[in-house]
Amino acid sequence: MIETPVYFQQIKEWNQQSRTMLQKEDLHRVCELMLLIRGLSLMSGCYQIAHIAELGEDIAFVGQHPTNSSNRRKSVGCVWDVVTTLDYLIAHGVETTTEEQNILIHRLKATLVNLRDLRPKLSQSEIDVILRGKVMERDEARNQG
Amino acid sequence: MNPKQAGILVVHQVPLVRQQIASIFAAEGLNKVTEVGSPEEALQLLETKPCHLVVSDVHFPKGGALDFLKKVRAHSFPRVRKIGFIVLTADSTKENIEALIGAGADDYILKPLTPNYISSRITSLLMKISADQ
Repeated sequence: MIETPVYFQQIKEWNQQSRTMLQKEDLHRVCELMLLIRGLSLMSGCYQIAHIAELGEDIAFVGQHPTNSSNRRKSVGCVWDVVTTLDYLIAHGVETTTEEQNILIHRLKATLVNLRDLRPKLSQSEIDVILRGKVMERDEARNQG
Repeated sequence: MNPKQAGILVVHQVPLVRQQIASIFAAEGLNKVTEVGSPEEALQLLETKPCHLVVSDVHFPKGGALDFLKKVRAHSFPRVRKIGFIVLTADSTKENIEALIGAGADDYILKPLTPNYISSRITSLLMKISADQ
């Protein structure tokens, strides 16, 4: 497997890019960077970082299509907290959930509810149901052809 | 086809992630892995190098996996059109999943992945491809 220092270096780089993009209010790019951070964190078993990055990703996504300027500011502010928290986790190399981080997670989730997370998501088992349906469709088409 | 002899092409923009995926495959005895950083490179390689399976991320700086998959399924080379296509990503948004499966992705696997899990999915897909041929 990849050694931890390389992983942290890459995450740190993406998080720094997120901060730069956030200053430009480019939430589309921030959303993509958060997805990259989440993917690599999941693969490296760093689930706390992945969880916080996922919240940042969702808020950045919703913030791209705000219903008003207040919601956009709220999104940018929340993603800023995510970037800062990720900086802390990367700098300290910890996977613990501190009380402060728990408060942040609750706040981010509440923000998502307020902003309405517009993206329905699927679990692996739900994806597998769709795949099975597609395979049956293809088999039927082949038999008919 | 013996899955361990299958040629696998991993497509991801980040070298570190490609290496990570390749190392998981290697741990399962899947050693014939080639890595590229973009769909453009992948399409060029698929025309010249025999390959049984593509394992691709969803997001790329120029176009995404959906464009890539459509180009594979509409390719002028029949062996490229029939190649197994697995999407491996942390992106669990319903819209992307349905679009990619609808466009002909054979499997869609969410991260994190465990070596046993990915190996079993790849093995069953390769067996199905063999049976279909």
